[in-house]
Amino acid sequence: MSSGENHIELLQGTLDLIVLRALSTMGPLHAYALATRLAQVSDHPLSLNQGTLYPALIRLEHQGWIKGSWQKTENNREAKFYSITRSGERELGRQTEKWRRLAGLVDKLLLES
Amino acid sequence: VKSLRRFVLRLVSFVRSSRAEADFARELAAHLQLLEDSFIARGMPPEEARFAARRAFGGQVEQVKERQRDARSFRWLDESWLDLKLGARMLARYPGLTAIAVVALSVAIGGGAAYLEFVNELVRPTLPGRDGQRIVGIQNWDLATGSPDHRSLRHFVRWRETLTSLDLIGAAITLERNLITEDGRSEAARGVEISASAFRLFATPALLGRGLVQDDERLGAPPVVVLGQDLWRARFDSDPAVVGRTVRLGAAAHTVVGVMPAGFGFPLNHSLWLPLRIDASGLQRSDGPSLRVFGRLADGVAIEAAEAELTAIASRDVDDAARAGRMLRPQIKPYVASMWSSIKDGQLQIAILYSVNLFFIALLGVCGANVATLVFARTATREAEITVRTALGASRTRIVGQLFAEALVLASVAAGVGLAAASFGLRWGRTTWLATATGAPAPFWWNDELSTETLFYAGGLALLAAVMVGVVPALKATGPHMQARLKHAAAGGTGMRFGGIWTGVIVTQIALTVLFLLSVVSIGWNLYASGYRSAVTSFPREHFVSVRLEMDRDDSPGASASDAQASYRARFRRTYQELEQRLLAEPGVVGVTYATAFPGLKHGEFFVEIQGFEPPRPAHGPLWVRTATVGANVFATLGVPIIAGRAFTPADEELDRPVAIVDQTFVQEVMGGSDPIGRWVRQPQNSENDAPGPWYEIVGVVRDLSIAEDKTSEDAVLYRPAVTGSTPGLRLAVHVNGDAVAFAPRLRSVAASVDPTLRLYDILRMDQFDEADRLTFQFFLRALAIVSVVALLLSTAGVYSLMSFTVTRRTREIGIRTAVGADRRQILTGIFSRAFSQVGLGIAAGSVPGTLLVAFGAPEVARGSGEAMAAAAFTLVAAFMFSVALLACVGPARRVLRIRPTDALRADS
Repeated sequence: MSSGENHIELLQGTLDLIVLRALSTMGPLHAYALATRLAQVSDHPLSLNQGTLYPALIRLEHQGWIKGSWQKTENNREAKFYSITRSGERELGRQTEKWRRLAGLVDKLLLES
Repeated sequence: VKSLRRFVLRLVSFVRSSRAEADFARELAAHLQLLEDSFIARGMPPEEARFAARRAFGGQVEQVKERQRDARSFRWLDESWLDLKLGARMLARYPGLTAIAVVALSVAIGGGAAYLEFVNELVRPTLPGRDGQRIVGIQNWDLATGSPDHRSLRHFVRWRETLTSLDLIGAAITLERNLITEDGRSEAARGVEISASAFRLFATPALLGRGLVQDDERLGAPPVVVLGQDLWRARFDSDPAVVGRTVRLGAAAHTVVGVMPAGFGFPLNHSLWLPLRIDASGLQRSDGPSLRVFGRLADGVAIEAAEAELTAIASRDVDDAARAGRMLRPQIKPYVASMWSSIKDGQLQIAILYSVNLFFIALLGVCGANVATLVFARTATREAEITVRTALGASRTRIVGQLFAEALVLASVAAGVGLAAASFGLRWGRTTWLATATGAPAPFWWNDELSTETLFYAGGLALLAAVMVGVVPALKATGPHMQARLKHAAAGGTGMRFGGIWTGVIVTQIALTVLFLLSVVSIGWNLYASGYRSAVTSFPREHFVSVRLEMDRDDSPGASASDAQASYRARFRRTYQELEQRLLAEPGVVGVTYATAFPGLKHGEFFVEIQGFEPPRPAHGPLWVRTATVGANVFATLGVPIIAGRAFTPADEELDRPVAIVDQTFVQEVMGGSDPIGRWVRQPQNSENDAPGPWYEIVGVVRDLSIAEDKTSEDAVLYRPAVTGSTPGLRLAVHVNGDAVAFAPRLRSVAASVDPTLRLYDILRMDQFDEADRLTFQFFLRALAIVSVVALLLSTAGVYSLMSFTVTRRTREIGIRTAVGADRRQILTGIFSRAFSQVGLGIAAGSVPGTLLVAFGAPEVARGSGEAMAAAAFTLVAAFMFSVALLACVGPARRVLRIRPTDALRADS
């Protein structure tokens, strides 16, 4: 609430799209790396509590779009790595398309006014 | 598909929740570790890094876990399970409330379940086995009289030859025979001559040997018999080598070929099967014995189709029927319906039978409302917990759900207890009461198991109870004033109030209890007056053993009915005389006599008209007395003196003289004390008798055989002499020195040696006659006692919770009043006056209809004393209720007296 003007509220449902995109681009990531990655690309304006990732991860896993497995990090720590599945890739395509259309529509409306 | 997949995975996650939980904990730990590593890498000291990691994570690890759980599994399922566990724990934490609630709810639920099971067995009984529903009965209906005609042997033969829509068609003829074993023991057994197809209707295998087979039915085949398990156990001591042994049935010897298991009692409640051998040649329609015809619907045939085929066959016989001047219409019905035609046909009766269930639902309503009051009081003591949980974010639904789950556990326990009691009660009714009252086992399709339907019904009642007991108080307790309550909770008091609804419930409950107790007085009074009174007799009943005598009839088809009757009478009489002689020769036997009824047994009715005398008419209905036909020596054998006139003589019997003897009650109540000797008495023409009966001369007065107070004309007895053989239902009485029951086996063996076809039923000592009445009486008294105890328990608990609650709510006020110097007695009066006014209101409301019931429901013999009894009962019940209320106040009152001003001030700070 107090993070200032740069704060962007994450739109409902967009977290799934962002996670899928990150996994598709970066390959398998654990939740911490994923959170760091999201912070990097957004130059920190998404004030994402790292804990909020988990419900999204379990939801995506239940839907069969991502898959988790225990592996070692480069520092030899154990972590659960998530990778995007084939049906996850298809879903990413669908959601991206949907998002573009929505964003375009909103843009158009904003320009008109 | 996707949502299905998600559902399944959530379910898996729910079932294996501990594994998912551990996996997630591990993942979180790893995440925090990685965060911590990154902070350390930036040069932070390890201790600080750990805190920084948690901050970066978002602080509340537990909340994250909770949200992940939400996404992973079914939270409501998880919570419901938790709530149920909590509910089970609450049972143990409040044992008093648990006990009262379980008793109250189980009476209503168990009563409803037992009643439904009973009515279903009565109205919609089902035969056991895979083909149970396809087994049917065929009957001829006489269209002229509207009643079934069972003498259909000739039709049966025709049906069996021609009907294609039924298979396994068979017939059964019930017979009573003495079963005489090799050791000479003879006892009457209820058996049936039956077609072998009966043993193929059910897939029940024989316990030993075999059932009947087709070849057994052949004329001239060796005589065989199949035993039921009951008989096998009772008469053969469950001998595994019984197959192949010879037994005698009356005069004929039969070989035992098999034993059927318990539960096989086809056609009704039989335990002895003989093959039915038919020689139908020369039989005319409606000739021959009474029989029941049964069969099984062929595969894929509906009962209507079978009926149509049967009607078509019957219509070809129309000429034949017209010649006989009677119309018979054959009818196919489901098997049990063909046996219980009277109940099955009455739609109204069925509706009434089922609607009695509403009584149990109303009972559940009353009990549920009471338990709800108690639960509300308990909820009030947990107000702080509820308020704090609400403050922490628990929704109202969530809290109501939790309280509902607690109530559900309570109601389920009550349903379990109620069902166990129902099952026990039904078994007791079937085995003990029915067997004693009717002297016959229950139909074979009655079983001890409660049907699925009954279990569901009980489940539904439990759910209804849980809604009443859990949801209603919960909604009241979590109402819109939570903010205000939060303040109260912080202050340690309680903000809840026993509002109008609960006051109403308590007043109603006390009123119902009072009404109920007064009804118990009324019912008990009537039961005592009209029902069972352990009869006192003017002769020593315990020295008499009594038995009902019957003898096999020789149904040779050649003889005419009247000839057969005459020869049967003569044979019976000869046999009786020989039996009497042989018994008198036995050591210890003092006398032998007979009558159709003795004190304690049902007598015939005799409507009274006296020549030249106008007896006083009873208040309603015609004047009638009891009557019995007796042997000439009956009064001498019983040792009851003739007070006036003379006793019967053997000549009265032989010549069938029109004479009668009356008892003292007859003289008092019918003759008004005047001398009856020489008067002539008969039955007048009335609705019961088409024509006046013959006149009888009263020749003697005998002392009353049974002694009771308040006798009316309906207790008077008129005796008539009769020879043995001419009266059905004759009872033999033997006067024995010493133990009359011990003489029973000797009586059996003497009778068997006189004539093996002489059958003995109900061997009882004369003081055991009213056993069935006594059992019924006891049953009613016990049922009344149980319901009274429940009602009392509930009202005591209700009053107690009201008092206790009042004290808790007013702790502060009491403390302050004590501090400013109020008198303790004044405080007590102030606190309890409201409760006592509620009790008083309840007593007043309940006693108005209650006393009216007692006053106007007074039994016949105590007319006029109804008002006095009502006043006495009211005083007693009111005093009782007030003392219960007083007793319920003791605990709370002691708490009031212990409240000190400092407590109240502390509560206020």
